[in-house]
Amino acid sequence: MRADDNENPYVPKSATVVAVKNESLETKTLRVRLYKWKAEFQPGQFVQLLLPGVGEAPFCIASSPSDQKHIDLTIIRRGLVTIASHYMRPGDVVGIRGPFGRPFPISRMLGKDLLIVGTGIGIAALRSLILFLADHREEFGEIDLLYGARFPEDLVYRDEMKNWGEKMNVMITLSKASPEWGGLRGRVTDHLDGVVKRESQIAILCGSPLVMRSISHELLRRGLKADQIFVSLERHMKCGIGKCARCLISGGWHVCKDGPVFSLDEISLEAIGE
Amino acid sequence: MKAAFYSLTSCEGCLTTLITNLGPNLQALWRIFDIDYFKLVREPVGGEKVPRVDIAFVEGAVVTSLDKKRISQIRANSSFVVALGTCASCGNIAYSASRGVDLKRRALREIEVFEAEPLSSYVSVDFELSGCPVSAEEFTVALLRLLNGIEPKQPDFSVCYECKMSGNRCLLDVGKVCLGPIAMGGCGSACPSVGAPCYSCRGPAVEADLSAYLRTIRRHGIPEGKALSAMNAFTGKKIVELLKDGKK
Amino acid sequence: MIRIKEGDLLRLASMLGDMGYRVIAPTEANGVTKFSDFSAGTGIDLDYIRAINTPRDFLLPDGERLYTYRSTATVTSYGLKIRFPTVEGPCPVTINAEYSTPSGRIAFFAIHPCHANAIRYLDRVMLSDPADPYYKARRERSLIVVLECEEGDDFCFCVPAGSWKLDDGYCDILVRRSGDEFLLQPKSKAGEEAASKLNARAEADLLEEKAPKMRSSFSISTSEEMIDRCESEGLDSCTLCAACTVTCPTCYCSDIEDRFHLVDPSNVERLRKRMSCQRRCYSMIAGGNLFIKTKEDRYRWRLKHKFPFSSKAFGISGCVGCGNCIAFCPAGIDMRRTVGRGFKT
Repeated sequence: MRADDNENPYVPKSATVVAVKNESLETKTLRVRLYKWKAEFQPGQFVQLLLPGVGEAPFCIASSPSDQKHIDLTIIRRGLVTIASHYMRPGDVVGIRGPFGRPFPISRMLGKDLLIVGTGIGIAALRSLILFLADHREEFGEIDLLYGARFPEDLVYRDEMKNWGEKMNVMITLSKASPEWGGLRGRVTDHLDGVVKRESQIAILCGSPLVMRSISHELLRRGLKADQIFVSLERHMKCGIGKCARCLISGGWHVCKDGPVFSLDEISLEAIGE
Repeated sequence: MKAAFYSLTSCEGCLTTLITNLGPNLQALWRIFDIDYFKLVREPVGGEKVPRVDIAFVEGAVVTSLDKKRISQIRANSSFVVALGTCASCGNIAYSASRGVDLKRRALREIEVFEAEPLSSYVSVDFELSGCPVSAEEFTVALLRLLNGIEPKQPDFSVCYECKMSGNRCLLDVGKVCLGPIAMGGCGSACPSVGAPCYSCRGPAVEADLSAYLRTIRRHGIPEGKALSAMNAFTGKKIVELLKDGKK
Repeated sequence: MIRIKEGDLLRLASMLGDMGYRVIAPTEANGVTKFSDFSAGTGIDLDYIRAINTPRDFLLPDGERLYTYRSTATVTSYGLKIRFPTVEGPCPVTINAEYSTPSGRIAFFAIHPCHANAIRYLDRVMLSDPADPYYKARRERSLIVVLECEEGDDFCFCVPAGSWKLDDGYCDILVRRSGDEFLLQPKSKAGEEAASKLNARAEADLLEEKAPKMRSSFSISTSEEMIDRCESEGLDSCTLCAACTVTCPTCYCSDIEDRFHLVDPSNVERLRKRMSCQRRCYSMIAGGNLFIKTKEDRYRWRLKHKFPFSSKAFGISGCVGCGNCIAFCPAGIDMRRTVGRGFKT
C-alpha cells in the first residue's frame, strides 16, 4: 500500500527541507514543507522526524500553529539522528509522522498571567507556544519569558528575541557569561523573584530534567500550586502512539500519548527524571 | 572514501569470513570505497606501505615486533580505526596462550614475539567489532553507519538474551558451563542453539556483572573454577580486567 | 460440550490447518516446550505446563517489517552520490513509503488460560486508540483453543493473579483433559464451526472454566511505593540477561530500526524489534543519558509496568501469573516475594 493515502500511524509522510538556519554552534533549525498534506498541530505537540537511511527521533514542533504547511524543528547535535540532521540541505526529503501528544493547555491559560521558563535547548519546545501567544497577545494576561543558557554562544533564536520582547517580558540569563555580556547572569532560579507573584499565574517549563525539578521546587516554595505548573518532558519515544512503552514514566503515563506536557499534580517531581 | 583492511597475527578468519559471507555486498564495498589495502583480495598497489585512509579495519592481535610497528603506522595514517574480531578487540586465544611461556625461544630470526595484546593496548581504537569470526551482517550495519558519519554501536545485550529469544533450554540447567549471561550478544546465540555452551567469543557483554554470574552458576551447582577457566579461553584481556574489578 | 479422544483433538489441529489457519501448537524438543507451527504428522505436547515462548511472539513477531521506503535523497546529501549508481538522477520528492498489513489467519492451539489472558492484555495495549494496524490485522482473524491446566507447577500463580478465568472473545474452544478423554466446549461461532467438523455427539452439559490446583496461595497487592520500598533480595545474582521479559507473555516493549542493504542502499526497511527494560538502551535518550540505571531500578521498573502502570494506563494488570519470569530466570529471582502478600516458597 502506498503511504500517502493511508492512516497507518507508523508510516511517515513526505516532507522537504526548505531552509536550514544556524542558531548556535550546536544547534540548527530545519524548516520542512509538508508534501501534499497538512499538520493540524497545537503548541507543545511533537513529530517523529525520519531521516532516510539514518533513523527516526521525536522533536517538539518549534513553529507557529498558524502555518500548517511548514514545521520548524530546532535540533541540537547529540545523538544519531540529531547529528545527521545537521547535514541536511534544502531540497532533501525527510519523513514526518505526527503530530503526536497532548499540547499545552491553551484553554486553561486564556486570560491568565503566564510564566514561561526555558533552559538550554528546552526553549525549542516553547517556541511554538511563544509564537502562538504573540499572535493572540490580547487573550492572555502578563507574559514573562525567562530563558536560561550557559554560554552566550548557546543562545538560540537570538534575532527573534527582539520581536518577542515587544509582546512579552523577555529575560535572558547566562550561567557562564563572558565579561562582555550585558544581560542577566546566573541560573533561571536566581531570577524568579520578580516574576513569580501572581495568584492566577500559569507556569510552563521546559529544559533538562534536573533544572525543571529545581525550578518546580522553587515555584512550589513560592506558593504556586502543582496544577498551575506545567512541564514538557523528554523521553525517547519510538512509536509515538503508546505501543512501544519506551516513554512510560512513573505514574503509568505515556509521555507520547498523555504528554509530553504534564501538570505537576499529575506527575511527581521524581518522574521528571534526573 | 578510502578504506583498508589489515591483518596482524591471526588466523585471517575474519577477513576470510567477510569475503565469503558478504556475498553481493562485497562488490558493493568496492564500489563505495577506494580500497587501497586488502591483501586477501588483491595485491596492494603501494606494496606493504600503509596508505592514508579514512577507515582502517584491523584484524588480529598484536604479538610480534612487526605487529607493533604496523599498528602504530596504521593508527597514524587512518582517521578511524576499527578493531575487527575478538583478537583485535580482546586478544582472544593468543592472549592467555602467550602467557606463562618462554617467548624468547619462539622468536623467528629478527622478529621478536611478545605476550599477545589487543589493539587497544597499544593505540586508541575508535570502534571494536567483536566476533570470532566477525559477522558479515554486523560488519555491514557498522559500515553503513560509518558511511553516514555515525558511530556504530555494539550490542547492549548478552548471549543469554538472544538464547531465550531463540527458545532454547538453559544449558546451566543441565550443568554445562555456559558463559551466555555475561557474554556479548549479537551472534544470535549460535552455539547454545545447537546445544553447545557459550564461550563468550565476543568478549564480555557491555553490562557484564561477573560476581552476579558467579552467584548464578553456584546456584546451578557449577564449580566456579570451571567457569573461570572457560572465560580465559577466548576473551583475553577484557575478562582479565573484569576479574580484577570483580575481586575489588 | 463434546467428548473426544486424544486422536480427535490432534485431528482438530490438522482440520484447523485445512480451514486455512496457521496453527500454532506446543511442541516438545530438546527438553523444552515451545509454541511452533504445527503441521499434520508432528506431535503436540498436550501435557505441558510451561512453554518458553508465548503467543505474543506470533502476534508481535520480532523484526516485523513496518514499511519500506526509498532513501535516495539523503544518501546523496552525505556526499556519496558519485559512488552509488542507484542514486543518480534527480531527487524524488517523496520517500515513497510502502507497507502491507499481514493477511492470513492464526489459530493458537492448546494455549493455557494465562496465555489467553495475556492476549487480552495485549489487545488492551495494541488496540487502544490509535490501534496498531499490524497487530489488529492478526487479531481480527485469530482463533484461540484453550487447554485448561489441572495443576500448576512451582512457579504458576494464575489463581492469585485471577487469570484462570476467561473473558468473552478470548476463548473460541475450551478443552479439558478428563482421564484418557478430552472435553470440548465451543464458546464462539468460529469455535462451533471448527468443533462441528469433528462430528462428535454433543452432550447437554456446559463446560465452565475451573481453577487449577496451585502449590502456593497468596494475594497480589502492589503500588509504586510498595515496589520502590521492596528489598532487592536475590537481585545481586541478576546478570541482566532479560530472560524475564523475553519469556513474559505480556511484555510488548519494542524498538524501531532501519535495515539497510549495501547493494541497494536506497531501499530501506523499517523493522520493529523486541526491546526489554532490562537492556541498557531501553531508557537511553540522545546524549547517552539513562533514566533507569541500576539492576534494582530495572527490576522495579518491570514490576511497575506490569502492575501499577498497567492498571493506570490500560485498566488491567499486566501480569497473568504464568510464572515464566521466575521459571526461566537463571538467577532464580522470584517476583512473588515482592508483590505477593503471604507468599511462602
